[in-house]
Amino acid sequence: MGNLVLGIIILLLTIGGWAWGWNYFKDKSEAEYKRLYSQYKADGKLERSEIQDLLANLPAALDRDLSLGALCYETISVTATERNYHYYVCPLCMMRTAYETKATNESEANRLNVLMNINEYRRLVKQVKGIDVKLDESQFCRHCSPGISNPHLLLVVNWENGSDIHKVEDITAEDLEILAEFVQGAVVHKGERDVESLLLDYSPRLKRLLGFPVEAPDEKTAR
Amino acid sequence: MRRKKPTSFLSASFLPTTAVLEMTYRCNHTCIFCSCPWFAPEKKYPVAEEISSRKWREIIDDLCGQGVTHVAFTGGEPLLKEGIEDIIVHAATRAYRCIESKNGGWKKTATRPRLYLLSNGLALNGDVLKLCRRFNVQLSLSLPGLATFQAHTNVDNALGVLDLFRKAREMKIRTTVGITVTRWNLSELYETIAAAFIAGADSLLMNRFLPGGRGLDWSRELFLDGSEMKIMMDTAEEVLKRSDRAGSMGTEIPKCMVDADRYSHLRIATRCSAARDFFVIDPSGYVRVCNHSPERLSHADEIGQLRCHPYWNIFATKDYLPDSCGRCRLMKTCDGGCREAAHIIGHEVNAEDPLFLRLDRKTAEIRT
Repeated sequence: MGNLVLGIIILLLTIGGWAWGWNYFKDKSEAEYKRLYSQYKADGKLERSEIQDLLANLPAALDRDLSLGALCYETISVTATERNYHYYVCPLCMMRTAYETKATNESEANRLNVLMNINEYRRLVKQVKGIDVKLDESQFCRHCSPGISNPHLLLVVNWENGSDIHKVEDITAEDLEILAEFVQGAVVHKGERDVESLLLDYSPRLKRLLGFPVEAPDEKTAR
Repeated sequence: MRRKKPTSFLSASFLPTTAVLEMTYRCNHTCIFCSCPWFAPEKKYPVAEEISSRKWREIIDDLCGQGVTHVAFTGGEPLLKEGIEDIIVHAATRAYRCIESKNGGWKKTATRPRLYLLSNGLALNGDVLKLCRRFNVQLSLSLPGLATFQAHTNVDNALGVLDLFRKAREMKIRTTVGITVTRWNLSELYETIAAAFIAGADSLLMNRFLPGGRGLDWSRELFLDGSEMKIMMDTAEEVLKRSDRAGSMGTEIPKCMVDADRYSHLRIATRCSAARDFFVIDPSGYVRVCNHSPERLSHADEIGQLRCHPYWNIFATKDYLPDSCGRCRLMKTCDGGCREAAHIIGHEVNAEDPLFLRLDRKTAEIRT
């Protein structure tokens, strides 16, 4: 009988201790991440080693539920353009390159999507503060890149004052969103309709965007 | 091996394809809604000597050489400009080289520019109508109300404008009725559009009143709020539907304030076209990004300098989205309303559209 009571007490203590420890770990993880971020960001910029450390310490859980987003958000669809071409204005030379708005394959459709949303990309990249990143749109300008027939949008990351440059092709608006969120110290990504997801889930993609080795491919890195 | 056709080409220049030429500062109306910056109460806009009709012809030659395909004549009242008829004839006989997208490919063509004349009609005579007919000039006549026409313009000529629509229709001239909608003429908007269509107007170009120019003195009285703007669009849609005509809003509206899908006949813009699709040259030859803008940029003689002009580049690259729009998902297809109206009232190009503000009587100062 005595052994049974002792067993129950040990079991309760184990469960309680595990729950306390889990909660403690969870809270500490997020709080510590924020502290770590503040410490690294104190001088206004993030070094490569600091970024890698932050990536490795992204919290796996939060002390609150993730938002599912508003369910009855009013949306207004895009009105169809009457034109059959779209002008791209180069921000460097200000010259205009006309693109057909009728895509005949996926590559052209992706390119058009980038062109149509280029201002959104520019706005988002400005929010990536603390590290030296910029968009390279030059392939879209027939004046700056006369020989390019299949242009791509590049994200350029300058490490070590430009001595180590990393370039990524075919980035998406979501890529820039997660990057901006990450360098601002966020631990969640706010997607469409403010639906939240852990930034940790995007860690492989963040590594790829920043030029760090990716350990194991997953579906996000394959995007 | 079959060569892959190109899907893009470099434009003739950095300039947008539509040039709006303000022929003169002068006007024979004194519209209280007028947004011409030189009529603004503080008189900050630098008014210099008007350029000659000969100089205008040189500018038009240069613009056509730089890929301008559409030329609009406005003012002030363009018909008060000495030699306006010669300038129109000159423009109509120029040719520009362009590349058009046709049947999935690009085709090089040399063609005449399309011309537009925007007038209040007071000085418009039979000779000008013949000119419009001869050179296929699209005529846009301002009709800011019927009963309220005189209150808006200080001239009693609504019937005269309607008569011009009739004459233009008889001569097979394409016409547009231009209506700036204010609180004063909103209640007769249906009748105004209908009267213009019955008289012979082909299409509608409707603008919401925006503070600027002389209109700054009348902002509180004339400015439509969100619900009045909705009434304006619903009314226009109703007339357009009944008459099976096309119409468009000339001034962009913040996308969060309008459900554009509700309108099948009224085309509603949510993007700013300034320095992207059109630009303006003022009566002394200086370029502005749009007719509402109070910022005078480079002279037409040095038009290439615009490429390095920070103000031009803000508009050309659309680097002006309001911070207040934050993470709004509609920003991909919206510029947060009229950027120049925001500039005039909020003193910053990336300020909020006045639709989001309340305006003080006669001062246009903001009270949030």
